[in-house]
Amino acid sequence: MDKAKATQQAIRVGRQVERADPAAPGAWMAPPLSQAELLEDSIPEAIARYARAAAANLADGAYGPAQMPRLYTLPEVTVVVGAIAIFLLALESEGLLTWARRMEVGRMQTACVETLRGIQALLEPIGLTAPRRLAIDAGDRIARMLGAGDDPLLAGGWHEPTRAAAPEPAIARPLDTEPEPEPENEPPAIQRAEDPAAEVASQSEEENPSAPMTVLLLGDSMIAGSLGSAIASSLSREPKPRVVRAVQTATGLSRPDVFDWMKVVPPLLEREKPQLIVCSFGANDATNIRDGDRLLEFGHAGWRTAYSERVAAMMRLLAAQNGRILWLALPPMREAWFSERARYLNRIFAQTAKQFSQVEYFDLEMLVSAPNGDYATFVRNADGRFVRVRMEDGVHYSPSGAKAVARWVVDWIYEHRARLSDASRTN
Amino acid sequence: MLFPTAEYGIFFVFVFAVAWGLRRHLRAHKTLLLLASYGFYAFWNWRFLPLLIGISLLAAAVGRALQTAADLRARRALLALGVVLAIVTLIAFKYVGFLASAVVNLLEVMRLHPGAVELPEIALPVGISFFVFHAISLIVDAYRGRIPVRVTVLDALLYVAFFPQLIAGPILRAQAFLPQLSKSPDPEAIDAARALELIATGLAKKVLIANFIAGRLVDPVFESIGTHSGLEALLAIYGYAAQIYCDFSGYSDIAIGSALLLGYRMPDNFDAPYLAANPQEFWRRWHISLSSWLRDYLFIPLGGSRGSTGRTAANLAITMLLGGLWHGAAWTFLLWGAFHAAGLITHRLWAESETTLARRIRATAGWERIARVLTFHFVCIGWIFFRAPSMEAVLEFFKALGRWNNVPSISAALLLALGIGLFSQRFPQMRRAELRQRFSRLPLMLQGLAFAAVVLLIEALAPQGIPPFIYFQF
Repeated sequence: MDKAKATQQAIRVGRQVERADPAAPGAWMAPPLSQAELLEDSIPEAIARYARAAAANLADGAYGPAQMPRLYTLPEVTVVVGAIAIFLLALESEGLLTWARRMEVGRMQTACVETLRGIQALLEPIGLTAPRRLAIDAGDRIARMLGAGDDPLLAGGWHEPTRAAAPEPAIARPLDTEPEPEPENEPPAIQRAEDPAAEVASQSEEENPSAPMTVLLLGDSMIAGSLGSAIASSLSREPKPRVVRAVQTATGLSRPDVFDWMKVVPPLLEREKPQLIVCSFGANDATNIRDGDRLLEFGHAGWRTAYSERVAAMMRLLAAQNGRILWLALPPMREAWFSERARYLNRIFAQTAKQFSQVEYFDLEMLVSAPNGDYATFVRNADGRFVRVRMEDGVHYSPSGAKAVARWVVDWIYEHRARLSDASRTN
Repeated sequence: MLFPTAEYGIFFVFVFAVAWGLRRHLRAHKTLLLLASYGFYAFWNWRFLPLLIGISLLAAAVGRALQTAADLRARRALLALGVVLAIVTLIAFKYVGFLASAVVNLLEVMRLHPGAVELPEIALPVGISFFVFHAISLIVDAYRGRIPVRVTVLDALLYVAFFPQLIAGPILRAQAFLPQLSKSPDPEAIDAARALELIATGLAKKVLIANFIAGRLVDPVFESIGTHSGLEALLAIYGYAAQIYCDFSGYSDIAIGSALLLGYRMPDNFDAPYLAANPQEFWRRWHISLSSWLRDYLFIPLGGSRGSTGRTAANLAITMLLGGLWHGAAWTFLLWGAFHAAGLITHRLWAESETTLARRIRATAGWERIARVLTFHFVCIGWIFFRAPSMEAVLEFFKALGRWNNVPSISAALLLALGIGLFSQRFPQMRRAELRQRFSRLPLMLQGLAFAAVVLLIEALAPQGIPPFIYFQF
C-alpha cells in the first residue's frame, strides 16, 4: 500500500485516534452569538458575521491534511441537521409547495399544501423566497448559455405555454429527430427550431402539397421509449413520413395541475400540422383527480364523468386540425389492480372515440398478451419461441413487444394512407 | 422512496431525531430503525414486505442455529439449507420466466416442440438481489464463525432491511455490521462532515450528471439505435459510462452518508473505478461491496486462484457469469459477465506472461497510462451489453459504430456533464479530506446553511422539465 493510501485509510478509521485529539470541538467553532446579538441582528448581518468568523478560522491555517477528521458530537450534529432542515424549509418553501401540489391527490396532499402555503405566505414578505428564484433564474441562464436549453420535445411547452421557445440543445438535433427525407424541404420539427425566423420560413414550405406526411407521436412513457422508436423505424416505405415525437413521461390527463397537455397541444399542432397523430395516454391516470374543489376518487361516477370529459376535450382538440387520430389502448398490466384500471380507462377511451369520426380507438389488448388476454411478460411468436414483450416493471413494452405493436400501427397507417394524404391536402 | 426526493428528506429528519432520541434504549432504537426501514420499503410496494421479513427470519434462524451447533455435519447441513433456500427464493422471483423461456426456446430450436407452456407471471420485488445477498452473508459468516456477537432476530432483521442500503446497496457484511448493531451508536463520534459531503456529492452526481446525460444522450440513442451514427453511438457509450458511475456511486454515497448521520458505518462502494489500469483493478474499485462479496462467497469457495491456471480461469468465468446474471435476468447481462470474465482471464495470462515482448511492453514508459485508457475502453464496451435492451440491440449498436455518416453537434452543457462525470474521479482523496476538514471547522449554523445552499443550487441547475422532487413510475 502506498503512502497516500495509508494516510487515507488512517483518515477513514480515524475515530479512535480522534478521541485523543487534544483540540476540543468547541475550539473550532466561531464564538456563539449572545441572545442580544441574535435579536438585534438582521439576517444578512448575521450571515456576514458568521462568514467573517469562518474566514478568520480558515485563514489561521493551523491544520493540514495530516490531522485526523473532526468527529461531531450528537448535539453538534443535531444543530447542523436542524439548521439544514430550517434553512431548506425557508429557502425551498416554494419548491416544497410545488412538490406538495404534485403529490397524489388526497387528504395528505391537502394538508401538505395548506401547511406549506402558510409557510410560504410567511416567508414571502421577508424576502426568503427570493434566493430560490434567483438561483433558478441563474440556473436557467447558465443552462441556456451552455446550450442545455429546455426540454427538446416541448420547447416552451413545459414551463409556461406562452414562453418563447428557447434555443434547442444542439445534441437534440441529430439524436432526437428521425432521419429527414429531403434536407432542402426540411420541415420544422420541434427539435429543429433554431430561431423564430427560420421556423416561420420553413412553415411556409410545409404547405407544399408534395411534402411528406407528418406523423405526430404524442403521450407518456408508453409511447416515449421503444414503441415510439419502433413506429418511427417501421414507417420505412417511401415516401417516408416525417415523424415528430412529443412525449413527456409521468404525465396524463388526470393531473393538468402537474402537466397540462391541453395547453401544450394547440401550439404543437399549429407548428407541426400532422396528418396523423398516434397517441397513448392513461398509464398515469389510474389515480384520484381534483376537479375544482372536489376530490374525485378513481372509478366513482363523478370521476368517470370528469375524466370522460377530459378525454373528449383532448380528442376534440386533436380532431380540430383535420388529421386522423389513432388512440392506443393500454395493454394489460402485471399487477391485477392496475390491469383492471387500465381496462376501465380503455372503455372510456373506446366510448369517447365513437363521438369523433376522425378518432380511431386502437385496441391492442390481444397483441401483447397471453392467449386468454391476460398480462404476459413472454409471448410465443409464430415459431413457437418465447419472446419478451414487456419490461421488468410489468408495464412498459420491451423492444420486441414494441415492434409487435408498431407493426399493427404501421399496417393501419399504410392501409389508410390514401385518406391520410387527402387530409394533408385539405390542411 | 427514492433518495433525491422531498419525501426522503422529511423521512430522514424524522428517523434521525427519533432514533437518536431512543439511543439509550437499544431495543427501542433498533425497533424504530427496523420499522422505518419497512416503511421505506412499503412506500414502494408493501406486498413484498412478507418476503423481505421471511428471508430475514430465515437468515436469523439459520445464523443462530449455526452459532450454537457444534457438530460439523450439522453445521454443513444448516449452511446448505439456508443458502439453498435463499437462492431458490431469488431464482423463483427473478429468473423463472427467463430460464423457462430459454428452455422452451432451446427445445424449439432442437425441433422438440414442447406444446403449450404457461410461464408464471411473477413481479420482481424491489431490492431482492440485495436482501438475498445480505441473508447469505449472514448465514455464511455465521458458519465460518466470523460474527463476533450473538445473532439476534432483531439484529438480523435490521441488518437485512436497514433502509439506506435496502434498495441498491452497498451490500453489508454480517461480520462487520452485526457488531455495530450490538451496541448503541456512539453519540460522541459522528463523522458528519463526511456524511454531508457524501450526500451533497451524491445528489449532484445523480441529479445533475446522471439524469441529464441519460435524458439528453444515452436514452435517445439506445431507444432507436438503428437511426444513429457512429459518433453518436460512441458518445452514448462514454455518456453511459459517466451516467452509470454517477447514478450508482451517487446512490451509494447518499446511502453511506445517511447511515453515518445515524452513527453507522458502511463500506466504500466505489473508488475511482475508471482510473483502473486493468480489469482486476477495475473490480477492486467498482461496486466494491458486490465484487468483494462475489470474491469471498463464490470465487474463493470455488477454489479461487489456488489451483491450476485452467481451474482459476474456470472459477473466474463462473463468478463473473453469475455476477452478470445477478444484475438482471437477461442474455445481455450474461454476455456482460462473460465479457468481463474474458477480460479478467486475459489480464491474468498477460500479467503472468514472462515473454520478452510482454516484459518489454510492461517496462515501457507511460504503459500505466496506456493500460488505463485500454481498461476504460474495455469497460465501456462492456457497458454496451449492459445497457442495450436486447441482444439484437447489441448487434445494432455495433453496426451503428461503423456508420460514420454524420457528425453530431454536442452542446457545451453535455460535454461539461460528460467531463465532470468521467474525470471527477481524478479529484484526489487527500484534497477532499482537507476540504472536509475545513468545512467541519465552520460554525455549525453556517455548515447547515452551506449544505442547504448546495441543495438549492443543485435544484436550480437540475434539468427542468419534470422537476426532481417527483416520483411517478411511468
